[in-house]
Amino acid sequence: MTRTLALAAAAPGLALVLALAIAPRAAAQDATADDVARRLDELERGQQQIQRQLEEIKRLVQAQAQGPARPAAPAGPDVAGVELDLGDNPVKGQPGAGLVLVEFTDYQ
Amino acid sequence: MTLDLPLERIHPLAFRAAEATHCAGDQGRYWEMHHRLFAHQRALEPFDAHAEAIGIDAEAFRECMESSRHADAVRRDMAEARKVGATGTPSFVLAEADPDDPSKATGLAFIRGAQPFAAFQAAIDRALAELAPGGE
Repeated sequence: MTRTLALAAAAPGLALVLALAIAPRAAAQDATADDVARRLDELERGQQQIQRQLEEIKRLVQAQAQGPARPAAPAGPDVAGVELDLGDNPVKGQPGAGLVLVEFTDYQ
Repeated sequence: MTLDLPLERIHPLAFRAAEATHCAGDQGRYWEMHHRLFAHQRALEPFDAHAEAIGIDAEAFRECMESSRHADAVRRDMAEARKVGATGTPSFVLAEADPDDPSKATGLAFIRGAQPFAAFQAAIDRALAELAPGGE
């Protein structure tokens, strides 16, 4: 009997202790969740920034690769009227076509 | 159509590779070799292996490579590249074909590098408009 009472008395105490133990933990979890969310935001912003910088670098590299003189149209040597000797290189497409697209190619 | 512009200074095997495509061409398989070597740019040698892979007569191919009989044609292509000012690959020249001689054409436009399809389309459309009767 005494034993049961003691248990009954202990039970709310136990509940209180548990509640006390959980409360700060929950608070800590909230804080952690906020923190994680904030960190995620930061990471996301950072990533977006990196992406923007990468896009910028890509744009610059491409502009560089295509030569300095490429503001609007793909500039290149003026070949208008240049007579080409195509030899007997293999050709694809319709024989007798009015236009020929010549590719200068390299393996390696 | 492709003309060869092996960039020998940076690609020591490129000239031989160009010859190999023409040796395959002797057996009617130019494009097979062209595509194959393009896909195996890091493993061009031995060239015999590619000949075998596309199923051409290995002995005739070897003999062709040893004779270097297409070297002049490759060099002529390189001279054409110099003529139009093509220094890198890929470079393209859109040209008007000579109706009487398939080996001759007159330059219209230069397209530098691997441009999107739209760039070619635009150049071709411009050329067709110019060449059309009543065009420029």
